[in-house]
Amino acid sequence: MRLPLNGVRIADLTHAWAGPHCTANLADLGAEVIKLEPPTGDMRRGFRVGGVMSGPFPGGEPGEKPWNRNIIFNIINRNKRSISLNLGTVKGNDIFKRIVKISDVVIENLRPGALSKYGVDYEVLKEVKPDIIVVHMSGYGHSGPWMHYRAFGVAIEPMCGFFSLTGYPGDSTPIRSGVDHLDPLCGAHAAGAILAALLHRHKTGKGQCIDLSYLESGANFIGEALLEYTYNHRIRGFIGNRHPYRVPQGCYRCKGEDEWVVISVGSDEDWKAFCQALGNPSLVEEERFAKPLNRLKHQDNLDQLIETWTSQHNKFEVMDILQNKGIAAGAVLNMAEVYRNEQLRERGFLETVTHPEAGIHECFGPRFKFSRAPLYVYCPAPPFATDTDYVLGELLGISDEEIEQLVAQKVIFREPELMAEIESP
Amino acid sequence: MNGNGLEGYKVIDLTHYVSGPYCTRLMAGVGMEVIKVEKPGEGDGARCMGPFVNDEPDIEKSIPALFLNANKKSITLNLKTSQGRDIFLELIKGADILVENFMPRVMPSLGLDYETLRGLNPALVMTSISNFGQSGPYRDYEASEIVEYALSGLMYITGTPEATPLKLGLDVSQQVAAQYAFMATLAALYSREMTGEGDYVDVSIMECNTGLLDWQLGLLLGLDFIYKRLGDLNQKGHPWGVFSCQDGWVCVCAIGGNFKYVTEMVGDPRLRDPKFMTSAGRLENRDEVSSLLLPWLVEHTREDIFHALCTKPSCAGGMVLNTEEIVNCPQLNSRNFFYQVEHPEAGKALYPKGPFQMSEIPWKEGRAPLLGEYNDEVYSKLGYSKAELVQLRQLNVI
Repeated sequence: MRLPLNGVRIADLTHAWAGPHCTANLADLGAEVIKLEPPTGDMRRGFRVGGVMSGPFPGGEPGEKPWNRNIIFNIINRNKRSISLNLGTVKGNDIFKRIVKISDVVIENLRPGALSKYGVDYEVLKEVKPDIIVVHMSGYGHSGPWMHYRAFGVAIEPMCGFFSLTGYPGDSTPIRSGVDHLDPLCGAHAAGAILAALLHRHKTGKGQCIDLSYLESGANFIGEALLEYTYNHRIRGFIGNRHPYRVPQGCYRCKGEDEWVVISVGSDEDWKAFCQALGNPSLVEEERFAKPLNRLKHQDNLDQLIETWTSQHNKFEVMDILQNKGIAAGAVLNMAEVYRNEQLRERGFLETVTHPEAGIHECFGPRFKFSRAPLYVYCPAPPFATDTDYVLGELLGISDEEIEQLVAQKVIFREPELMAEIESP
Repeated sequence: MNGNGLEGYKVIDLTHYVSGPYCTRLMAGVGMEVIKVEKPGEGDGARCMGPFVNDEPDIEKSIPALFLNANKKSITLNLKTSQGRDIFLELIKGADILVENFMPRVMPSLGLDYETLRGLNPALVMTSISNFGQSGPYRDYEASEIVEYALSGLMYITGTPEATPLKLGLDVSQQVAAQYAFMATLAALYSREMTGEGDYVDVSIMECNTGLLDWQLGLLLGLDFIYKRLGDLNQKGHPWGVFSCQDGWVCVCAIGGNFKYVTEMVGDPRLRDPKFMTSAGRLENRDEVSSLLLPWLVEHTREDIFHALCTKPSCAGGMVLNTEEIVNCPQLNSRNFFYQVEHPEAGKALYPKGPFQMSEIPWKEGRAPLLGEYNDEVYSKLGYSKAELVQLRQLNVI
């Protein structure tokens, strides 16, 4: 049965996380994503640290080809194909253009200007394929005074306001998110933009150039706070785990070490039900807490009372008791608990895939379910350059002899070039 | 054909609050016709969410709603009446996409489940965004932003180890899900263009957010390691996070051997100690590294540090900017990221454009609609006369 993007081919020059996250989603949707890796491979395959490849590896074993066994790479790059070429050589450049000619999208997250440096920017690629869609992902975008500034997701997160909005009340230290949010966030926006461009091309026959900056992507996530400034000239600060008007709301300690539950109570009915759940229905009428405005004023007291109750229970118990009364409550899950979680398991969100060199492992499946198209993890992440014969031979019609010559000439690579001894990020 | 190829697509937008509306914000921004269906009288519940323009609570002055609903067309329709549902079905007949984010039991209870709508319009793409998905033991559970953040696994790893786990100060979980809903819906539409058949897209806020934990899953599977919260520190390396400096907070990142550029800038010979030359070494001696960087940090401003670091190989700097500073950011302004909006009730202000710049599809520079502003336009196209609309209003159908 057809997958939504069957027939769409993506020439994927991206590396690390943001770009590959974008293309993984498109691969999940059925696009053929061909990773075009540099001779040293996508950096997510690992680095040499003190002569040893950085992992993590299944069972801690790097194996003979550690670059094919890096679990994080294999999770992020499911459903894709891989070849490796040296864009800096005349022949490598030519092969790239031949791949572009049979592709629908070219996407890269190299440093701005990299494609120009290789002589394959949008203007050139348009001549190769007039309706090509070229996508640039970079920290600050392909224009402006900061265009050439080095950028990592974690360095741009403070620039788009996430830090200034996140912290504990009464403490001025801004806190980062536990995940480098901007990488997958920009990747997801990129996938959306590519789909919009594909639809535009379907209607008009025209391709285009898409320029994504992490900064602009991230700033869209704080739109409300930006407008609070442009309308009311107020600079929003942080309120921790509380809410402007839902009360009580917070993160409460439960039985055990580092065990927590979050609770968020909305309406008056919820408040009544909440008090019943705590086994303390008289709380409802108490002067301090009866009305929402009073509850907001006496939040500290209320939170203490609640924590006296929650700390006697396991977090899952608290969640069950409250959800049964229709109150929004959730256990704060660690990664092992997420991995075992009944809701995710019931939905089949974790899928098992068999990798030719890393063995059987799990990864998260597609982030959406279609009722008709059967989306799933249909192939493992590609070992380095595993699709050389398919792409060069089958798709481009290059003979076996010529492929071997290209390998000998270091235009195409079947094994990664030994990386310089560098450090892992 | 000239112009924006997306302009011919019609979206019936039944969404409310945040996760649905951010998805349809993207659709409206790239030029699709987004018809936002709202309850007569009160509209989308988000219209009661503050903050409000000039602190004046009003359904036309809710700042979250103004941001999320820019470029959409609002109509009012009461789906609890049978005539309202009939009108809705007429709208569906002529639509390409339907997006909703009610609790899973709602659409079926209104007789508006996908199978019914597909019978009317087989080419329809219908997308449902919900807290936990349309199936599973949590299907009917209540949630809000903090609950989603906690259950996804993101909250456990955010905050300082000595304090409680911390929620991000934005409605990030909901907007993350909206991004995936946007791409998946457009993919289903693309497939529809190839085959003539639509599809139903089920997006779970929990799954979209848990899906951001690829690293953490890898560490669990490979090393049996459960990632913990580290405040502003990072297991990836050091320095790799936020530090206090002369006039605020700055982000300093240096990978591996490129730490030598930081050493040069700081000028303290103690930083040349071999134990600091590798990432592992710096991670092990974190506190010492931080204390050696401190005197230099305290003497320099965010701007100095940011500009200096961003021009060094494999280093990066960042400044903790607040919303005022972002609105005045020279990079964003050079790229025309903000545009002026004039809203009849809320007044004038700068708004951010979308998250990507497309050479053939400029972001639409419109405003959020007034409640029911497009009733005449949309319903007259369905063939209703002005007199009929008056009657429907009196019957509380629209």
